[in-house]
Amino acid sequence: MDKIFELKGINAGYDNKIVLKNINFVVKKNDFIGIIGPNGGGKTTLLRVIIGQLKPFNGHVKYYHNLKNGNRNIGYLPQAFQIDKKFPISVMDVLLSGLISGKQLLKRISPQDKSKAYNLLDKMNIVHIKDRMIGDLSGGELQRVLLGRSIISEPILLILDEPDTFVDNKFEQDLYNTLLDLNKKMAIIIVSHDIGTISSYIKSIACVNQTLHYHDSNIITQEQLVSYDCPVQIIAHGDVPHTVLKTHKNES
Amino acid sequence: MTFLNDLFQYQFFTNAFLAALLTSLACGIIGTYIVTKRIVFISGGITHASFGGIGIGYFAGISPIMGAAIFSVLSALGIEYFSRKGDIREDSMIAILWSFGMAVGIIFIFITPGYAPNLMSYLFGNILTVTFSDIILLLAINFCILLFFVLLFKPILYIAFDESYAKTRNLPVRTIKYLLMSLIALTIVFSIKVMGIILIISLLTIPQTTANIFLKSYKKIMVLSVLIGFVGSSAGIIISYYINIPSGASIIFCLVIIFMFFRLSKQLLSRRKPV
Repeated sequence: MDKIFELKGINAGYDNKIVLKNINFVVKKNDFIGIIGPNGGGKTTLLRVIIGQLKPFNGHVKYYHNLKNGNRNIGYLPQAFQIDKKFPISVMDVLLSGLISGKQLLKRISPQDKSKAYNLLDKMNIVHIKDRMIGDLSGGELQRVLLGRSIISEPILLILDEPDTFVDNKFEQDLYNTLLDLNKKMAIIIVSHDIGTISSYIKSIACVNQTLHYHDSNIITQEQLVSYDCPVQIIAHGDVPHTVLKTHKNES
Repeated sequence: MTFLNDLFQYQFFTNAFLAALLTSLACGIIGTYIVTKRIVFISGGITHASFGGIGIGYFAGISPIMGAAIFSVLSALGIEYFSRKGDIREDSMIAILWSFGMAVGIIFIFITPGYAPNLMSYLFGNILTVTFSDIILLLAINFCILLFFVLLFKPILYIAFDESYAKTRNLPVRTIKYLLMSLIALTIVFSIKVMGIILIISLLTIPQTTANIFLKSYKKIMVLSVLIGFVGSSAGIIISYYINIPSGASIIFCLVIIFMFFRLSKQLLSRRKPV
């Protein structure tokens, strides 16, 4: 029972609007959890509570492994649209930003930091773009760089918010294989629309639609989704690849 | 070059020249943040809101620039606060402060007995009115900006690039943003003597946009912006002296000419490449 963090009785939202109701959620070491749910169901809100960006109205957030240099060491990959691609920053600087810490604000970037960033870029096969500006990158390259930023500090928990939008299939495959490898060292929470593709990688599923239902398996049926009040599309795996689509009563 | 020697014999011209240099330095650094963070409209709002402080300064008999400094720092912090709250659209909030500041200024100047001297110079800038104490204020704000950016360059860069990620690294995002907003407000106010309220936004955006035509790195944009600002404002004040026009307007003219030169060069260079 190696817990990383635990949410207990969380109610959260914005202003007076409650987005998440009575959330209980435990993440343990080496978990690989896929978060699914309809748009507006509170997936991103849940992530914001976990990374400490949003204070819940009530309930407890408890971290068990919290301190590394006095920091909560969580790797976070935000949705790609949040990034201003015209911002004048180089790939190397984006990676190095993953090593900065609020507790050592005045610390200069050391040669060790730089070689760490260099080695990571090398491992991800993108060392040739290290001096490029992010505006000159393709969608897949930018996602790789942002993934690099979120894992360079060797976090115990990696959180990815829809890393598979706007990227090509090749990158998607690479990404999931990289994640499998990373999962040996860290717990991973991934928000995805593409539950079919991720289901063979993840270990368990959390359905978020105001409430959270934890499903301790990577296979979920349409009936279970309905019982969890989680209207999303699922794609079944089989000998013949096929997509199962179903209309939902309460789809908006 | 003898005409320059002649000019520098006048104390007011030396003051004007120093002020232009210091204004370019402060605006070059602060403007790069403004342009890359896309907060040009916020800066426009702060600039115009500072007019309210000038009006109150006139009325209360204190230095209008001091009144403007207080007023604009408060409106900058107000904009930052309300935009974080998020219940009012940020651009609408800015427009309210923008016009309210101007309205306060107009009312107080109107009810101040007698004629308001130098009113035009606050609106359009006037090199003749730069005093020794203005230079001291510019020196002080430049010192603060340089200290802040030298010590915290990386955190500032990372916060400007991706605020929500910076928060996950536990950077003091809110504190640094409030400090930057205050520096923006003070830079604007202390540059009013050279550029004027209506025209100051140019020195915060034209050099940076010009530098960005050829350079893509934040640091390089910052350095070249300072240089372009300095060339443009020096040329501008010399022209304004000789043909007797407001300095702010002639500086903008020079800055736009430099901008067009860069832009056309880029076009010519890129046209040549495919051949």
